[in-house]
Amino acid sequence: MNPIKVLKNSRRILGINERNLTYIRPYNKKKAKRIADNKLLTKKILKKANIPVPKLIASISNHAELDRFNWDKLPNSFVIKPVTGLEGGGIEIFYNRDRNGNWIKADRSKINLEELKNLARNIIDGKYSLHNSPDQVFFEERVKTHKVFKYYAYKGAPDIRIIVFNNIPIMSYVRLPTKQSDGKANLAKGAIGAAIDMATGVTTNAIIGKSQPIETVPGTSLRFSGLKIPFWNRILRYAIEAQKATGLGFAAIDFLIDREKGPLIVELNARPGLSIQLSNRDGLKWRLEKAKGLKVKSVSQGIRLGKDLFGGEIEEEIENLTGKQVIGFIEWIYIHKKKEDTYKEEKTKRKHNKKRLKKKVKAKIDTGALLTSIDANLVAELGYKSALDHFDKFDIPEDLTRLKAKKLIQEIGDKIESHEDIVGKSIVHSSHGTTIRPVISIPVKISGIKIDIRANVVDRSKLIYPVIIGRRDLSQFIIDPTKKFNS
Amino acid sequence: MNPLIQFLIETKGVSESSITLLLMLPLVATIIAFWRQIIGLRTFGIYAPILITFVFYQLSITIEGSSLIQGLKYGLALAIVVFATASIAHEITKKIRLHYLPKMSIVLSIVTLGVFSLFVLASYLNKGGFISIDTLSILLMIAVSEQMISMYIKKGRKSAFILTIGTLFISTISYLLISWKNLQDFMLQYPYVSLLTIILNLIIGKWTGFRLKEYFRFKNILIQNESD
Repeated sequence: MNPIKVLKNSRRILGINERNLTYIRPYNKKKAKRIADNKLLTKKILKKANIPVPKLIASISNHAELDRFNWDKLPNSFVIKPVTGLEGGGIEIFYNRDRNGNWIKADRSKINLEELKNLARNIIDGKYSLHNSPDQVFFEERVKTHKVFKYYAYKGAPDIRIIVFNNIPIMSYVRLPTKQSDGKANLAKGAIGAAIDMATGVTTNAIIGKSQPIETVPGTSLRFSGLKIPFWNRILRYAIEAQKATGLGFAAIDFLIDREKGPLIVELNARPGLSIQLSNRDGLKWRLEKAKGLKVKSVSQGIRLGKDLFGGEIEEEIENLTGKQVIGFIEWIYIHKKKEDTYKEEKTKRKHNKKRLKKKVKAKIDTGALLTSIDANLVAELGYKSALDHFDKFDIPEDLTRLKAKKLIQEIGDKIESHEDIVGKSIVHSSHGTTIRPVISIPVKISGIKIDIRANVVDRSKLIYPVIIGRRDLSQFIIDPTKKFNS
Repeated sequence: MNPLIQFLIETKGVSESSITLLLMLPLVATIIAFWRQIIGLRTFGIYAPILITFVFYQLSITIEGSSLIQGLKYGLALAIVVFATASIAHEITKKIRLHYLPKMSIVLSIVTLGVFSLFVLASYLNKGGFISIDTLSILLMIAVSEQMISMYIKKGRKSAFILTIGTLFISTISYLLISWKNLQDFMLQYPYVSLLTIILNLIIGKWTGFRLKEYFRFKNILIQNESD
């Protein structure tokens, strides 16, 4: 164990003390907490804000109401919940009703009317509420689990959690019930928590129970990573909208995904748990600090910020697996100016012109080309003008034939390379004919990785991109064709 | 001895042990706060461990003075009997599904029965010290058992067990501390020291660093290489 590494990592992770003091107290006001702690109130407020929630069937607020309650109006399939319940206590899900009027649970065990009434009484007496204070009961429709989860979840419904702060989604995971957890999506009981990449809505890293890493669904070779959560953008949007509607500054928003209705918010949590960090193998602290103070003007801006700032785990995973950097088809690249040439001017102008040492240009990542090309004007600007002048002296005609070009190279090839900056020459065949171009080696930085590209120089001033990076210089990268500008 | 304390004890006849206990209370409360916020060990709230600590202290008082071992021996015996009978009573009543208060009433009755048999056992073995134990201590211990059962219902057997162990552990440490003669004399001499705990608690109360326990909880992500 390396203490420096531990210290460094601990600055990224949120602990309970800091969560309570720095985030819950100042950002979750009493009024907002009261909404989150009361599931009926949550439902009412979200519904008013047009955010989908499971449909309320009925509610019972005291023993007198319980005695008058018409139990036959309950449908065959429903969920019973305490209004202020903690950690899923007191929740029962009924799938059907048999001929004798008994309701059937997920594990096929049955419960009769008297037992159901007793459960309701216990809830009202406060068996599952904070400090055992009197509670209310409510019944809501059962959410029919979306079919993508069919092979991942055991019996119960997977629960997707988004942590939102300052109207930005900052971390997410899905809790998948297992046999061990008795169909409950509770990690402490042995459920699985799979992190979700904020940018794509695809699961990445998973743990079972409190911290044990797990890769595949037990007994199969199905991997927990790579599952695409349906309706991802809608989920992020509802999460931010729910935060706005309730006034919670730092909240965990829990969703179930219904086969027909899509994502539904089942619960808001004003005291988000910290184990989501273990699934994500990353801390909440640096994310909270990054999101703090940003001005988020709209819901869609919040989604974009969340995706850009905290997404990309998938790429990281690929990068870790292959050791290669994922880049888009168009990237900003940084090219250093040639040292010798800039030295004299820089000495006087250094203070103002530090940035001028590097030039940022757009480059097209072109796997269709073997060689990298760079614009002659840009090369001159970078301090390689003498190399270009040297090449121009040979006055090589523009439209050569293949044979002529070969001959010419044999004749003057060595002379072209006699300049210190020219490392080669290449014959390029294109629709305009065959040309000979000088090749120079330039250090560049693409998405944080430094490489020396060997670029042939040509006038590209009429083209959009001053640089095209060809296959030969892309060996350290993987290209994502849907992406632009990694950094 | 501090003049004010001396006046209270020697002129007005306030009992010395009452004064000592009062001065020690902030200290015990601070220890509990420290264990929760800095170490991460949980207890049944703050008053249960305080009560158990003082029950231990009461049990250590004998006719000849006080016995550290006796307090610990009788205290832990009483605590274990109370918590064990409460758990058994809960397990039995769980099956018949009752309302919370009548159920609690039954649990407390069974606990009382357990304590009663402890008395019978003590008188058989001629343990005079235990028989002369004051009623309030027993009642306090029984009252604390309600907290345990409520945790039992909410968080299950394992959590309740861990919390019970944690509570007894802190109570034992606090008990050993407040029974320390040198500390007692010191507190009687400088009673205002107990106000210093306020400053300590202000520091603990503003502590946003990791709890010691969290270094273990987040071990997997703490030792990984930074990914970016």
